[in-house]
Amino acid sequence: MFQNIIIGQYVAGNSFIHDLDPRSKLTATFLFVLIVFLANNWLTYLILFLAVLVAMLVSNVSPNYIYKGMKPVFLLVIAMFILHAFFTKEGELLFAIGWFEVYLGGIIQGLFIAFRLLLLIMMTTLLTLTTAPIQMTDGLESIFGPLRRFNVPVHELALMMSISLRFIPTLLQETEKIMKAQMARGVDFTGGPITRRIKAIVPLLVPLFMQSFRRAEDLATAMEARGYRGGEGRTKLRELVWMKKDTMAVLTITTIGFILLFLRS
Amino acid sequence: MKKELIQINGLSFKYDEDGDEVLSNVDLTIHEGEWVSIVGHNGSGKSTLAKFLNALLIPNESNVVLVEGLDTVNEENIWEVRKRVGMVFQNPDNQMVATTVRDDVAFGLENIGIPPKEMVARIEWALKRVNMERYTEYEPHRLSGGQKQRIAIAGILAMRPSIIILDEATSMLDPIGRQEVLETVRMLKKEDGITVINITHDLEEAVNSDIVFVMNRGNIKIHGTPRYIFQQTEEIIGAGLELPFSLEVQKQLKSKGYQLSNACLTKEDLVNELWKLRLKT
Repeated sequence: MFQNIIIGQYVAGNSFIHDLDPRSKLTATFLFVLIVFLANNWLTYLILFLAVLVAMLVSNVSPNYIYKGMKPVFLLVIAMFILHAFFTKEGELLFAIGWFEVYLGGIIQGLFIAFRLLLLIMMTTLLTLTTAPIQMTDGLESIFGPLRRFNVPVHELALMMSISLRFIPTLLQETEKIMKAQMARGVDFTGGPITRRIKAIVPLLVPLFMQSFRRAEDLATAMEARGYRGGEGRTKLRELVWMKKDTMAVLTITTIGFILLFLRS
Repeated sequence: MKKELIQINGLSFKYDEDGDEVLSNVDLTIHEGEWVSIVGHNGSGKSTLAKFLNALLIPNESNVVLVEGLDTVNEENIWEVRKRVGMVFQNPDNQMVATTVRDDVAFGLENIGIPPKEMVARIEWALKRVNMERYTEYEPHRLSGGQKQRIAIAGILAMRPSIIILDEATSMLDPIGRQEVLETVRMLKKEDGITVINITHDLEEAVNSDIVFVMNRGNIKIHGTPRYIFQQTEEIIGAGLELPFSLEVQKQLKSKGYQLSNACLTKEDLVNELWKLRLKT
């Protein structure tokens, strides 16, 4: 049932984007999310779209993957479009059904908002497709490192994230095992009315939680036995190296941002 | 006389103030290069004892636990002790921290602050030692139980310890996995001179050790060479342990009046003894 589990949606590959430092990818994506909100006319949207297109081409990721990553949010995009199309009352009146009026300005506004959302999703999907979860964790730990001065447990949070990633497949396998054991005892997970199905989850969750607490305790002991003493004085196997191309990536996005500032109306 | 690696004098311990003593007045000396088995049934205190050996539990002032001369009461010594004593635990799934084999072996090294360049070399070396170098990029859930335990051993090995403690490390494994793990540790003992402390409830595993400690109710009941221990059948049964198969057969045969010498530790010994039996009579 849970075979071939892929955590996140990372697709291993070899490209300019794959090889970027996770920190620069995170920064660039964040900047992109900001500048998307600068766009407010056809030209600026076109520039952003071209930027995403170039990034996608350079990443060498099959468009199919990007489409798959975006699929779950299409409904949201359509909903956004409809909302804006119906409730923005600007420009020429296109048609009206009773009290229900649709204006040209509304359609355009709706299109812009929907397109903005699509661009955001495309870019973030590209980030998760080209960055392994563990790299992402390393990157976040490094970026938020300075917050340690304000007593934010950055290292601990990053460790928590990577341990969760490590245990997702293990817990899935365990869920499957418990499900089979309970099915053998006559629990029906798939049939019956919804209330019964929800009740059937209880004998699945209780053992799963019990086991997880046990695991947590064991793991803590094992970590201590291996000399774990928090982030202090720790070295890292995977060193993040910021290279010229990382600066380039961030600068490119920033430049696009400035261009948009000039071209927006 | 070989160097004393671990020395425990009169160690007593309880988890709760008013609970039962989990360990009472334990004396234990372990020498360099030995293969030591500590056997006992569940709740005999053997795992608690193991936790004292790498400072997961700290004795109070009146007790002494020395690891390579380092007193674990002293807080400054804890990290040094944990560097020198590695532990492999029972559940293979619950001791891998990282998402890949490589990162997991690195975990201990990161903890003790080894520079990344040296880490890479040590990881490669350690994985080769346990014969897992082909699995460097594997995720934990794609490994078998025996492989996971070998990764755990590699993680310890990379830290260059002088002692490896197996705390019921084979009890959740299938026979093949168990063989893999014991074989690996045996090789490490022989070639790297690492001292091995195997904590188990299975006397069968103790057959090849240099010295066996039998624990019951927080106490070391008897200790000695396997040959000596295996003759104390009363004590073994009294400690709630199961006799190894070959001993059980011998015991039953003897009660039926067959004259066997007491020396058969392994199945092979017993078979040799049995086929010669008629020759003697």
